[in-house]
Amino acid sequence: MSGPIAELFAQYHDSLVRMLYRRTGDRDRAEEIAQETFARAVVAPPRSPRPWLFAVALNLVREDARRASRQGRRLILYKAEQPESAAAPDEELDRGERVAQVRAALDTLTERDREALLLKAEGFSYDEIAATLGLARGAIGTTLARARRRLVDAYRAGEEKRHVAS
Amino acid sequence: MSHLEEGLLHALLDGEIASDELPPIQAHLAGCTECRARLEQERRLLAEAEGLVEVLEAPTGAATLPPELKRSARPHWGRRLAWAASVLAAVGLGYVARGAGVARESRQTLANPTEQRTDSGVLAVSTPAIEPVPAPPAAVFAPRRRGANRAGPAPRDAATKPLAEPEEKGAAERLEKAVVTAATLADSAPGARAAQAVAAPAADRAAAPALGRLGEASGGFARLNAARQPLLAPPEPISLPDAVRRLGGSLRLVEGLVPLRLEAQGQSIRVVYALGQGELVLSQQLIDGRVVFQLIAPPGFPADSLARLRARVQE
Repeated sequence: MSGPIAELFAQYHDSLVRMLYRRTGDRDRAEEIAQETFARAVVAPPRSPRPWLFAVALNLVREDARRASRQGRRLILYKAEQPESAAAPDEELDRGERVAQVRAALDTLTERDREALLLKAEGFSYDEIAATLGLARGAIGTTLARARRRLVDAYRAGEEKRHVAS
Repeated sequence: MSHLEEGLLHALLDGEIASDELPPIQAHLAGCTECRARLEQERRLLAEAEGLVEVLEAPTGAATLPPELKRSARPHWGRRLAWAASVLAAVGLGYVARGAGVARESRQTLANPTEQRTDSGVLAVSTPAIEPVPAPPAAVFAPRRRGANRAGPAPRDAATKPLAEPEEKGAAERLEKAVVTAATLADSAPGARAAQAVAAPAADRAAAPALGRLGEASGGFARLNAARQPLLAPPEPISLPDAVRRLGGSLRLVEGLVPLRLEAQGQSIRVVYALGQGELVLSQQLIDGRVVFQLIAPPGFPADSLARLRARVQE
């Protein structure tokens, strides 16, 4: 196990898993994709690791989703997101619903907007987001503005629907 | 100057405007109440969106090597195989053993790969919960350092710093797993290695400011993915002897539970048990001569019950 790779792993593994978990809603899958991503970095260490790692990982997510779609698999992801906390059952239920609503709102975004948003949440600069997603740097502000607006709008719409239903 | 565009307002709020680009923007804002109001509106939107993303918390559990497995011991193949066979016979998994050497079709009935992965939940060993990423400060007029992130890896900033700290041992073991996986990939797929050699430099270029070459990098990633067998394939049935062989002669089971089926997924062997709440999966993998296992319970499964089950995992 080489030093630079260990350093890379220590530095980016948790951030990568967190982004993947937010993207997929599935802890095991997030961990597996992260493992696969680092496996590739071991084979061919990247010179600019963060954009490289996240680009490979997001590519794997897309591949996995396409494969699942081809196979007719229906991924039920919300179920995996039961909160683990010491909160009262009602609070946990509320929190679980909120998580599901946020994920549903996130799912309404385009792939590119969603990924830009999740990378920003990991502290990526506009340069890094541009490099990771293959976008022009000048487009990142607009992309993030649109992503944020759509996320908030979709979430609010979901909330309204829920209130009407209850 | 016409009104400030939405993207520009967000770049401003994200601290991504270079200092030499700031004066005209500031001048416009000073004289335009509408844009000032929009800036405030976008600031609230940004904060709300970031708050929503943070609701999707990071995993609270992570696989680690159980203490009893930390000793390096490669069991004797024949002895372990005999032991595993006897245990399996005792717990009623004989039908899996009969699958050895039998046509694949007959084994298909033992598993339903498509139902996997939908109920993944708590891992047996948990690390301290990872705190949500703190939102970067919305420095309205903080100029972006020109070229700050243009060369090499990004510095460990406030958002990534807490992530590197927890549980170094577990992290090292997960890395070890990645290394082993990589070695396997390199050995088993020369074509993939060639593709990787093509893709990696392209990917490196993607991270450089020469954005015009990004299309090439994306192509590299696509080629890389197309060239090798995905690791995330759905689980497939596997016979007992094959499973034991893949684990170097040792198969772990949860004492007292009757396995539902035995399957392989990538490098892992999965023993699946039926619980009232769903399926319990004992996933195990041979890494550097040692068997590493994870016990994966359905969502909502009590942590203390899981810990008790974990204590009953035996060779």
